[in-house]
Amino acid sequence: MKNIQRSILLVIILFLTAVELRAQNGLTGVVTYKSYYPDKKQRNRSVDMTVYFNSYESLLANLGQTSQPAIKVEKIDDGFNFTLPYGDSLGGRIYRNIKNNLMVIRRPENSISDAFIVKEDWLAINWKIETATKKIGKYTATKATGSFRGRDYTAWFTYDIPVPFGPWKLHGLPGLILEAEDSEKMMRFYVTEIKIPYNTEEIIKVPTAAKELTLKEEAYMQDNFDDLLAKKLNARLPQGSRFTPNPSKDGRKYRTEKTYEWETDAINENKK
Amino acid sequence: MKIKNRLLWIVVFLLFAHVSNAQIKGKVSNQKEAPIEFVTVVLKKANDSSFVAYTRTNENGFYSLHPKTTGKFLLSFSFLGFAKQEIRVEVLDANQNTNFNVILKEESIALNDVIVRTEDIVQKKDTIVFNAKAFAQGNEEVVEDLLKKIPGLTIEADGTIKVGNQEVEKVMVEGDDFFERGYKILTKNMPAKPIDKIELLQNYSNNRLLKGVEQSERIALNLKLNDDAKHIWFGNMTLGYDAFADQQRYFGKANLMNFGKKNKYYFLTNFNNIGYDATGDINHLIRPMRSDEPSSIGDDQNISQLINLSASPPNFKRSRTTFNNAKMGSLNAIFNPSEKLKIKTLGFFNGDQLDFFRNRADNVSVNDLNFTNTEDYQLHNRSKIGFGKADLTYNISESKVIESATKYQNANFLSNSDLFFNGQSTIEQLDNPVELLDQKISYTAKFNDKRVLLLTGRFIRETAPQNYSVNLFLFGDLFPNINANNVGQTLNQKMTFAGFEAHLLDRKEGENLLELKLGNSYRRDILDSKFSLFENGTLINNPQGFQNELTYAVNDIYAKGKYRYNLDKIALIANLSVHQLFNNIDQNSQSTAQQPFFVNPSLGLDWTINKNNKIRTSYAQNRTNAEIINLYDNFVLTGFRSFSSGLGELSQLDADALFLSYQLGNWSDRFFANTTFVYTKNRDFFSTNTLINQNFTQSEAIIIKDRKLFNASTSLDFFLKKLESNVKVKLGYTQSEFKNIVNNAQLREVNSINYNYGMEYRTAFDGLLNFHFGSMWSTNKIETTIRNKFTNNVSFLDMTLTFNKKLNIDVSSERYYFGNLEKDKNYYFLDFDARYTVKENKLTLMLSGKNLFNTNTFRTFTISDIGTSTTEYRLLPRFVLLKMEYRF
Repeated sequence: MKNIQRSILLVIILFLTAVELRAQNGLTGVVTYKSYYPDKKQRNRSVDMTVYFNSYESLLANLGQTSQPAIKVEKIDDGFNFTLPYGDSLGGRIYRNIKNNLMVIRRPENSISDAFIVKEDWLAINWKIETATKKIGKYTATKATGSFRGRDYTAWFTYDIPVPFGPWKLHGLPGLILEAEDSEKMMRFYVTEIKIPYNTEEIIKVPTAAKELTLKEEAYMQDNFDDLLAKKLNARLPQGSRFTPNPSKDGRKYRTEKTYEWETDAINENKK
Repeated sequence: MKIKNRLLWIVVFLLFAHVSNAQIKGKVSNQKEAPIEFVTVVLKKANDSSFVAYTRTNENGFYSLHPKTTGKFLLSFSFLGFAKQEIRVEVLDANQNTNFNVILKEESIALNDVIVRTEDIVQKKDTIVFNAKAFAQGNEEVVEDLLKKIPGLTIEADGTIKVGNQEVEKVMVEGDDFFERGYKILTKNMPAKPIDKIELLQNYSNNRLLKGVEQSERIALNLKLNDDAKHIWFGNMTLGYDAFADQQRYFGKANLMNFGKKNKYYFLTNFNNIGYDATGDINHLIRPMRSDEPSSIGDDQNISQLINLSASPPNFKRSRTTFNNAKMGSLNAIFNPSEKLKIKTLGFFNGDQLDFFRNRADNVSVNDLNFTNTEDYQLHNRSKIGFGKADLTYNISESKVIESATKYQNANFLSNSDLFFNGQSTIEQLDNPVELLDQKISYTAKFNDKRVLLLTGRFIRETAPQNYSVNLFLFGDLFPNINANNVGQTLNQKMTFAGFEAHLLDRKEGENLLELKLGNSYRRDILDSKFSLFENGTLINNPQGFQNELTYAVNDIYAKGKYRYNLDKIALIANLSVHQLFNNIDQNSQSTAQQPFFVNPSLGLDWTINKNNKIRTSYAQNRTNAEIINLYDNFVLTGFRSFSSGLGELSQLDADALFLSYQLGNWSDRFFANTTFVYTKNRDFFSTNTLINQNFTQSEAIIIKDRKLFNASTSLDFFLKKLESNVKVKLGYTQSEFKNIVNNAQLREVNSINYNYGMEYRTAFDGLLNFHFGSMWSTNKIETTIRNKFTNNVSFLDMTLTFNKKLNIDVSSERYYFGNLEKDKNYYFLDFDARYTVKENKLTLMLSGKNLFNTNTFRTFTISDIGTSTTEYRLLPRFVLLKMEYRF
């Protein structure tokens, strides 16, 4: 009998502490987006993107796919087939913390580099919140427009879920972003699933990697990806054969980020 | 640290208070009065809820906002897991400082939402709606470009649209369709801009009320236009001319369209002299492919013409032997004057001049008769076809539709031939005007989800006189005492058909479908022929036995039942048709009547053993009534040296047919095999008793018992992944046994065997070069009193060179080998087509060369039960055409 009473008391205490914990931190949840990234071949391929959040942190991660690294098969004009590694057990991640304005991006291993992290300067998006609304699922979403690194986005967020997070690197609205598209329709994100509450305590952690690059270094790597790849591949090719990348005239047309702060600042400086 | 922060806040507060005057601030805490951090605080205007400003509380639960203007506001506080609070705030003074401390109450929420984007893809039963804007990237020129971006749709290089492996039935615009399977004209030309939504219709039915009731695996696309879509004219134009200008070959083609929400127009024209069959482009408009559809009563009713002058070789590209000069124009429109009424009109005119050149040597060897005939033949056909069609659809209500289709055709075919028969010069002339009126009205009523009734009435009238003259008299042996030197025949055929049918479709539980048809059809045929012998221009005789005056009427009262019963993996299809016929024939001033009654049963079985093994089998017993073509009693001249006659009396014929097909794997699998067996036994059949003479033949229809036909064919496909290529193997075997009589001798058995075997190899590389080659051998054997056998071979090699997106070249070569020709056994052909896209979907330049080896004759060898024939055809000489295609 006493034991039972004790147990009940324990349960009540635990319950109360749980409530107390919740009261301090708010509910945690997870949101999944169907996302489209720029694709030169316009295959209209989407990937599922999952963002875990609490009241001040969010982590974009694909936990379902961690067990096996993704393999990307590239075909090269000469007829050689290469299997280029892309992805590793942790995958690409984006961590955000609005408490200390920290953004950490983790890039998985790819054909020219080991996995690395980039600590980004906090770049607030100057959203303009408009009057237009529409229904997304059962939520009323409000339109907002803003620019981020060379793309002009239209986002639809809901006041019903008051967290400032969103898909990819988009954030900073008075509610969760449910949809976002850039004006070229190359970057597109649509919410497919929302779960609140969802225990994210064990999930949301700052990503790590053995190597750390600056954003500038990463931009340089992306800009010169083909040349860096060619350098690396030519060493491995059989005798007499050579891999020359097709010089791409597209520049950053198919990149998620088309301009960077230091570049636009430089332009602005020049204008002045 | 905390103190420092607080100080900072206060400084900020003071600063802001100075700059933007009014301020709303306060503290947010929970029910235990503990501060809450990260609460979203939003300030909106009270009148229109427009956004003014937002912030989040700091670790002490403090917030502060600046309305910037005076007025009424809504201030809301929200935090996940707590109830939202909204407060009305009024700022009267620009310097007003308002303080609101708020206590948020906990509220348990549980969100577990799966959100389907309503705007992009909506699935409603069998229809998937894609929002065009969501998939468009802005660089789409034509509809095809847009469809490429819709998930699940595959657009092949030639524009074929597939969903999975299945080709779409049609692409409609606002539910209206001109093109049926010819939809590429639309998708490759229509601008993508006015498209608002794309609907993918599964289990599609051409009659909307049959949807869900009839058995349909069809897929169709429907394009919906923007409300403000202006009437845009668009189309394309192809012009081509002889690159070396030595033969004056030309090709021209233009499509012009305008699709609005209400009215749609489509104009088409084609003119060429390169052997291209222009009417092929609009065949689907004249005769839509709906053979297996309900309300098809009367579809197979037409006049079979007795004289047919044509001179193109079988199993050979018709364009190579056709010397033509075609001019075709077609105007089509769809009007939707009201929600309920739809009118579709179509008209076309085609004028053509066709020339064929042929030399033939027939070696006849039958019983003790041996001779050789030679023909040197030049045929000149002139045709003028005018055709008009009007379809009306009136939707009485949601569940009732009346449809009417009216067709009218007026055509004139004039043929002249220059003929040397065994060295004698002859001129043939055939005047063949054809007039056709076809009216169909159908009424569809849907009682409920599972039951539909169709009532269809149809009236057809066709007249096809054939006036034929030959300025040579080859029939001296037939008419010994007559001194004629040329012959002529007027032949009148007239057909009237009237039919009515009630068709009930009833879908039972478990997808089982019951179909019942009850109908009456009446057909009356008139066949009058008058054969005359002339001396110069003077009529000297109408010989007896060569004149026909015949009226044949058939009334068929019928009931047909079809039931499809689906078990788990087996579907049984049972058919039963009951006919009560009233046959009436008036011939030679004698009238005969007959009222046969018969039942035609058939049973089929579709068995899906598992995903990879499918068997289909069926057995049918079929009795058919003789047609007018089998019945005329006296001889009709059917060629310059041939007569034929029918049976002269009413009759029915019985046949049994057995069908079995086995499919291993699916089309998309790496290995796919399909094998079919067909066995038909005609218990009675029409054969001939032929009198063969060097100058002429007379063939008379007789009914003989027992004809057997057996056919087996199989095709195997392997995809070799390592070689990125597909290998196809084809095997076929056909054997037939029948009996006929030649020169009044005994009934003789004719045994004909044909077998063929071949393979094809086709690559599917990503790179520059792809090729496809194949070779097919076929052996024919005919055994009667004599024996004939030969083996031919046809091989081809097609190469596609895709240099880049802009330039590609197709080269195709063919080799024909005729085993029994004494010389010139081999024929080689080489064609090429080069395409250079100057601007995608705008301007394309093409260079096409035909018959590059300049082969000017083509000889074939055929065998029959009375001998062998060698035929030589003249071919269109080598030409190279420079073409330009422009889309506007």
